[in-house]
Amino acid sequence: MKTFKPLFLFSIVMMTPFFLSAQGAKSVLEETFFSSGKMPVVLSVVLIILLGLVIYIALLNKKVNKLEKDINK
Amino acid sequence: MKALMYLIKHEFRMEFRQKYAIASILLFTISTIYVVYQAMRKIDDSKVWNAMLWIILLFSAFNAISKSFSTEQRSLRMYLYTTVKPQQFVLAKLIYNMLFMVILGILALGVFSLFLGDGGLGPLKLGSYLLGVVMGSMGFACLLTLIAGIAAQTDSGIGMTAVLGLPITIPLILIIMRFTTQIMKGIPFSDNAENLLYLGVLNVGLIGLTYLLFPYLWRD
Amino acid sequence: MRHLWWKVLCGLLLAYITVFSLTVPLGPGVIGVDQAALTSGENTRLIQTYNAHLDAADLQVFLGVDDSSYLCTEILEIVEHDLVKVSFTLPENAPNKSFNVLMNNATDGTMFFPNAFRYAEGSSSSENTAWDICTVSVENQFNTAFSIPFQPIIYESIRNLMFHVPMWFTMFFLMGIGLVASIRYLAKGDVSMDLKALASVQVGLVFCVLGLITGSVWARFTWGAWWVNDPQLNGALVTFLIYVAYIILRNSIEDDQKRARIAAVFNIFAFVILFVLLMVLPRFSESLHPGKGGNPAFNKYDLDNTLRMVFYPAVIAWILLGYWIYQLRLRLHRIEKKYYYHENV
Repeated sequence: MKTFKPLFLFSIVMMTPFFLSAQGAKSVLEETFFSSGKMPVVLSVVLIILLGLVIYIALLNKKVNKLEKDINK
Repeated sequence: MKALMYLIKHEFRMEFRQKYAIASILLFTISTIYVVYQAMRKIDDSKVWNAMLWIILLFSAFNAISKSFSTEQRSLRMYLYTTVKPQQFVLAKLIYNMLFMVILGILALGVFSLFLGDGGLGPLKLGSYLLGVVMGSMGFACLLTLIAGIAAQTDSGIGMTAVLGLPITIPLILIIMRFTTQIMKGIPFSDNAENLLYLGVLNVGLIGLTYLLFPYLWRD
Repeated sequence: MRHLWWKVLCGLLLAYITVFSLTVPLGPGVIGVDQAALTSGENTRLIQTYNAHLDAADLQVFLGVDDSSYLCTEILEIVEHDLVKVSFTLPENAPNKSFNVLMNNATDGTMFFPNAFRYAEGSSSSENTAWDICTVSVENQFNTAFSIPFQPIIYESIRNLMFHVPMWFTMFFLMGIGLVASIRYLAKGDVSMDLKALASVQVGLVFCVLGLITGSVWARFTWGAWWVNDPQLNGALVTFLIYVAYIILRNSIEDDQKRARIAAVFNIFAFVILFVLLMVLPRFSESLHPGKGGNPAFNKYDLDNTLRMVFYPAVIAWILLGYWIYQLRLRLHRIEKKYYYHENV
């Protein structure tokens, strides 16, 4: 968990030029997402929702762990 | 009714006894305007002029109204709690805040146009613009009185007013900006009065809501 | 295992809407033309369609001159099953105007593309133009295949309707629970109501964030920007800010009773103002959102049976999921209260 955080931040930073290039007429980003009738947009939306819910469940999990630890003490 | 009148009088007496509080609010508003003047000198673009004025009015309102619950001492509050109804108390506060904000708004408009020009408003549109300032200032007072009451109850004190109040002022600001930009564009008043009506309805609604909800804040 | 049925229903509906909205094909439609500007005389253009089954035998292509008259085109070549080359002749004294394209065939029905071509080299008056009007009457045919309706620019991403839009429904459902709980708290002073308000706002905020992010992604690839000045988006952002302020407010008060009371007051006040905002905003600015401010609406298609079969279940499914998560959050709050403060709520 500890090593995951910097890795995540690092990947975000590495992706910035990718996002910035979106200013052009048809960037890499648009090429990717416009392929096959904008289906990748749907895919990313579904993935974001799934990931978001998983992250929230992980947070709840952490709270339950803490409570469990306190109760068993 | 009698108690209400008494409370309003009391409110004025309390505030004017603490002249430094009023002076600090005025100083804040005027020095903000002066800072804008130093940065921009004269604003010709009516859009920028309008936006600047309302930003200054917004923050003056926050500055003024967030003080309105902190000036009372705790003992005084206990005394008031036993003698008057919270509804009357909050109505008195609302009326005082509205009057004060209207005066502050008009004053700010005057000083602002003195320093930065009238932004192409001209004497003809000034009347309806002034109406907008009056209604907008009253709106700020209606909106922020309860928020200031809530913020005064928190442990972090009046600093909370900005956190709680800023997102909530957005609908009000939107209506006001719509009204005033249409005046600036020279759209006749009859086509614009609808926005003023929205503003009025919103103000009345806010007063009602404050009247209903405030007693719950007061149960210490 | 009480109340198991609705959780099962939630799972089944989620599975149904996911499978349905990801597998049903998108209906046919026109994507665009190779060159929009026309010249006087003969023009040869390529028209690109999507998911269409063009066939030389029954394909007709028209240019709309006005509501009832159409300019004929000659089909030169069907390059691929979705790409066709047509030619047509503009009269000498044609006025400046834009033309819609209509395509008809038996399998795909009528496909319509507004303002596909424009002519800018002619005169501004439309009198004395000898249009070569088609004698064939253009009849609207309906696509009978089972499909999700085609929308220009949106294309396949119309499927997001089943994922992005219900986020807002769920959020409002949860915030509604919070409002009712806050009102009941002020009326009765019941601590469990305060926990309900807190839990619903917390879970509602999760759905709000998901709605904002997914909306932003969708906006980027239909309107071209991550964020646009649109009443729906502004409303969503203000909602987010207000409820974050609610959480901050709760954290800034130590005393339990006082916190519950003041948070309830703020929640009611904020909800009413939010309601005003969401009523007022759409009147004030043009919306890019479909169905608002003269945009190509889903309206025509909202009533489309295929979409209806999956959109309503999607809303119910996501609301059930939100309610489920809310209940878990609430139970956790209750157990914490019981264990740390020895209060039964």
